[in-house]
Amino acid sequence: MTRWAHVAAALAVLGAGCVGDTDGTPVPPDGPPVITGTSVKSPGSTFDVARPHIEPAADLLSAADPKLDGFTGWPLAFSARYHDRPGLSCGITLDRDGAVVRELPAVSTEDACVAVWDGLDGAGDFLSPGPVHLTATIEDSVGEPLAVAEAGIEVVRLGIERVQLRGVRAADRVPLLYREVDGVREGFYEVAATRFPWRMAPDGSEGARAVSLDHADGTPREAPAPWDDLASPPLDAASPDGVERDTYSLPTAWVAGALVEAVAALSADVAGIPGGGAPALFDVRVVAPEGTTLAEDGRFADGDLITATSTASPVSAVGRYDWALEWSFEARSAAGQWVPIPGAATTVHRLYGLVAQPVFDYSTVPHRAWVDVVDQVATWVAGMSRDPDEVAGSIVDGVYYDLGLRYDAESGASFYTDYPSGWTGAVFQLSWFQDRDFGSIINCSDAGSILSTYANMVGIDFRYHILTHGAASGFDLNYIQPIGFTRFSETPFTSGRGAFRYHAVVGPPDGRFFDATLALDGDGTPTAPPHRLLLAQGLDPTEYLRDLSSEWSGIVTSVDEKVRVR
Amino acid sequence: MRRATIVAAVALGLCVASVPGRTSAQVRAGVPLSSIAPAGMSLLWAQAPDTRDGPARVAFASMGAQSPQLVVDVWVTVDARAARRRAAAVLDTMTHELSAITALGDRAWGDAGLVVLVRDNVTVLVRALGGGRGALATAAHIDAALRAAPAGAPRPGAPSVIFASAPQVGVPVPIRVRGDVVGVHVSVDGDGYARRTRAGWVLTRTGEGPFALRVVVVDSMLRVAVVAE
Repeated sequence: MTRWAHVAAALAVLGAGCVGDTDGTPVPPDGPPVITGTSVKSPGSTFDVARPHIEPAADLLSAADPKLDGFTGWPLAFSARYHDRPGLSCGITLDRDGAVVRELPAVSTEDACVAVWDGLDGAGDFLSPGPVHLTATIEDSVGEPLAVAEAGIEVVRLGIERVQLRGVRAADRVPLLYREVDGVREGFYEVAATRFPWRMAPDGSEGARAVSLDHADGTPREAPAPWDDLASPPLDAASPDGVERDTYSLPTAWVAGALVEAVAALSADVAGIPGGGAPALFDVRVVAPEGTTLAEDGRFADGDLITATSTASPVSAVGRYDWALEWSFEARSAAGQWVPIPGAATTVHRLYGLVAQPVFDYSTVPHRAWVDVVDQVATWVAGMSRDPDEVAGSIVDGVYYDLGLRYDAESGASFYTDYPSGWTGAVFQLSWFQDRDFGSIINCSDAGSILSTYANMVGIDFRYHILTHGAASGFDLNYIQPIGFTRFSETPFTSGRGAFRYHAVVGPPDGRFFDATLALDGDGTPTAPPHRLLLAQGLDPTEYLRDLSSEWSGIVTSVDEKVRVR
Repeated sequence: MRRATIVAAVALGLCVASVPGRTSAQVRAGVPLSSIAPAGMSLLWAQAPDTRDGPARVAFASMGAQSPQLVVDVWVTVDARAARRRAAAVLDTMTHELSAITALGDRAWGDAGLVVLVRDNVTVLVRALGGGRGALATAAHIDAALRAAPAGAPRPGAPSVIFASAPQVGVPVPIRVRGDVVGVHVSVDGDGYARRTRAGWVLTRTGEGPFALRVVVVDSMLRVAVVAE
């Protein structure tokens, strides 16, 4: 049996066809059924060309899903001719299996009879998916039908069950890491680059017959919004790992400039009947969300995958982007026209743009891009750049000005960075720092760890370096303004000592220095007022050291490695 | 009473202790965690390092407080020479030269906010957080605990590590560490990762490839040991 034979059979059940004409429903061999209407004419009477006439409009919307977000009503359009006769009105009746569903007053225009159906039955409930029979009638002022037309339409259920996001270049998607689950520090949870970031599905407690799009009572599920907690994924005590696996919209990270493919799994689930709302009588297709193109023809079928590829990068720079994909649909009318279906299934995806894949010396978890760190950097850069130097400069600014940190004026001690063996192998307690568990007082090792780790996580190759005097136990200081301080001084210490035993800075492989611990006096005379605040954001090492210390020529730079993260 | 005397003396800045500071040949088996809690404070957590060389880190807070007010790092090393080397390395990480403190430990440095002390084969770093001034008093209390600590080679116990040897990919399995353990850190090299849960550490394989587990523990004497690698 061909597809159209199925359709014809279904429409025959509906009783669709030409009223008054008795030649049945025409079924072209390669197209949808044609349904027409005509004037009511008494047998034997003379045909009156001036009699009102009505027939389904060529763009009568044949299928729709009243549960779609933004569904504004189902336009039921008939072409009509009234011949300027006064006192005529039209109305449209919907029935299913002979039972009236709704009777709708219609608006008559010069050449049309149109009603808008809200998709509800007379009791105010959503009509379940399936065929609906329409009867449009033009009546005179006393209710006498002058013309009648019939048509078949179909209530369907259209939705998106899950969305996978992947780069046109596979390496463009970056795995993300939550640093805790259920408030447990080091409860790391990785959102792998292969993980579906968006899903709508019943909770495990809802039973085996629960479906993705609707609750058991038939009301549509609410599409998940991007998950906002930056430390932890959503929780579900019933899942094996305690993390929500049913309905969620998790953030993803991308190399800035990536073209993104959204692979959506289509669903026609209705309560109690998986796939039960799939179009059966009419063709429905997916329309490419704005800013994307579809890889396939878009034909809607329950369970099928459809790929929308962004025409431009939705994550063009380092920043945070909420990418809303409005999956809308069209139905092919009986006359063969594709007609937009009101409403859409909208999936919203939070994307973070990074400079590149994260850069670490270690491959183990937690050496990944942490959600809260990436979000912080995205906030600082705010989509203004993807240049590594500019982004690193923003991180320096952010750490120096925005995190509420203050240099340890008593001891110059590190609170979040450990050196288990000499100056190498530095360990940064990032999990503790993000919660400021040890407070907001830090030293240069901490500032270097923060700056370099944040940079590493967004794809900037920063390493830490240790500055010591080659022949003494420390080096003196020019005027500096340490982090958290409001004025320049030759000493950050309450003791009045104007020297560092060591200092830590970070930078890229080319040897330039970045430093969020302190601002230099960049006016060319760093040994005396006045001062010009200069943050090291890619400074030549010699320039940096000259501004930092009068003993600059004796300062030795050692260690060139990345911190290890906990 | 003796502890109270020391605390009071230090608080008065008198630098008085019952044993004068001097280098000792004594080797301590460790220092009981239960003996170092400062008066009026409770233990918040004990943390194992992720390598053999790291400290046992413990955090204390006033009763009922959720955030640490004092963090204490303890290295129990094989002998006094190793402890002094460790103390020197810790001092190196201070950008400011710390003042020596007399009559505390074999040697000690610091101030009211931060103290480094060495007693026998044990090095201790006490940090008062948030501008707190309790480091000296706490260090004196810990020094007293060190002097009372049992003598003997620091030999951590051998906790057992139990986990499914071939867990399914993507299915977290518990890693059970049994024995005298107050802090555990687990890391995984290869196709898997470890994370902490309220019920303890779990291992999740991320692929079919090999993985290697490293478990570092701290026992109740604040000794660090790598028990699985």
